[in-house]
Amino acid sequence: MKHNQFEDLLHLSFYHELDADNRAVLDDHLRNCAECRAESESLAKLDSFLVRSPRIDVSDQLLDEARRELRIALRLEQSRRSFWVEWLESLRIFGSPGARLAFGGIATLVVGFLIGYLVFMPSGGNDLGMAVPGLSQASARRSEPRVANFRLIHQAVGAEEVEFTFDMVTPVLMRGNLNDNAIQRVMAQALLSDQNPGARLMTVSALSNQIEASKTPDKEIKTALIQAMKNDANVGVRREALKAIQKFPIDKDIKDALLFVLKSESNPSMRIDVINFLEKPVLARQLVDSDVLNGLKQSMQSDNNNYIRIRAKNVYEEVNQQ
Amino acid sequence: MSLHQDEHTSETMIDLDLIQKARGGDMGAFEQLVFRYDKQVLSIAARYVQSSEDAKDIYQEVFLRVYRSLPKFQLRSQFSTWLFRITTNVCLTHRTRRKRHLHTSLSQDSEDEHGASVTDALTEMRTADRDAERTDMALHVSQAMESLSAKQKMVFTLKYYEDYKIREIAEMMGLAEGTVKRYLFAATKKVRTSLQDLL
Repeated sequence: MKHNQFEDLLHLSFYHELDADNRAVLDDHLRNCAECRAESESLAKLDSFLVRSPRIDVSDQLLDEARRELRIALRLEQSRRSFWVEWLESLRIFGSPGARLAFGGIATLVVGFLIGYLVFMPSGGNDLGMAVPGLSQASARRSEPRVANFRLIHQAVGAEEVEFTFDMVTPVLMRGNLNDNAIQRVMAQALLSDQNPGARLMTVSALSNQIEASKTPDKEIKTALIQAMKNDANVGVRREALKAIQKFPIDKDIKDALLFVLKSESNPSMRIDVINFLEKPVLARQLVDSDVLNGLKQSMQSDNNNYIRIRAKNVYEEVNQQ
Repeated sequence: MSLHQDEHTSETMIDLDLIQKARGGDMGAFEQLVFRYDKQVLSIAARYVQSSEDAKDIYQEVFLRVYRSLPKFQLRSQFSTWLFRITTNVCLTHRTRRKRHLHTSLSQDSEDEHGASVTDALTEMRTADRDAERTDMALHVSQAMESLSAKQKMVFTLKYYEDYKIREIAEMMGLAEGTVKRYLFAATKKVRTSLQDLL
């Protein structure tokens, strides 16, 4: 056996991957090779160091947080599944290829007629009627569909045939009272999906202005605001969402979300806002549980902002003195 | 059939049952399927990226991919193999979303910070020293790991920290066992060289 093969055996032994036969061969070699013995000792030192080094462990709290966030993400994923994805997947219920082909052909014809109708329909809006479920006093009018994201795929020079793709976008003008639940739900969806941060900011501001402090929050709106506060890419949107959430009575979801912000938010002023918001109910003994106290303790010990450490310490100590 | 094989088969059957139900839209079944493996996924992610926040991002991405791809899962391989392959792929392509100040949890070691006695002050100093040392060790290990290529880091994490067999790592990463060994030995040498002065 070549010497570098013994080096490989050493590494395999270090990782407990050596079988008995090779173990014996290695042991025999080590008795006679000072270089390999030194290598073995060096690996042992490395192991000793790594074992002593702190490492991130998966605590129950971390796992719970991850699971909670996953549940929210899955709910959003479910609501985002487009009609077309579900339509395509529903074709799988047809077992035979022939049935799928026939159904696919019929469906394509129907879709083609529909597109033609929409494209060549006379101008003038009309009510969406039942298109937005749960509409009470709000009304929505559909405008003329527009072509968007036009992309030419192929056109041979001099040929009459052309191939392209495009999106059919139907703008909807919706009017109603901001207290209307249906209006708020549409806005909550926009808060999570609109790509323009300015639009998201306006949406959360509008929702925030309408939330009454004593009203039981709509679950979807609360979830959307929590998601925006925790995960929106724009700090202004996250701050507005935090302001809106502060108007709700504190329940477990909101408490967990606030503690998440306290621990994970990169913007220090938001973390300060959370401490300021929690201070009153904590000192009034309305919200004193181990999660909140641990959150404050962690902030006072390891936040990278000195002022936040001091604020968290002040609240924590004042609670402990009571 | 041995006891181990019996257990293996029954675990597979449980997975298959939950997969079928989840495919039918049963979110409870999907959740049960997730809970059977999610701690391992989170552990791999946390050890790989050395950050609990990034680990949660990876965790979420992995299970969203599983959710979206479950209808296409062929049942030719074990669900766990497929899941951990997704996990390693997501880890390898993950980019840290937000820069985090590296810190270890000090709350287990530090207790009450009050007290004016000399004993308390000394204890506090020793605790602070110990915590500073541990933070420093963690920083050096993190830097050593960052010196590895993504695949070396993944193999090292899965072998040293998660104690998977080389054969299992090869399956998870879609590599030959010889390639895994090559990555592992190179990673071990690099980590040792990085930490040379501290050993």
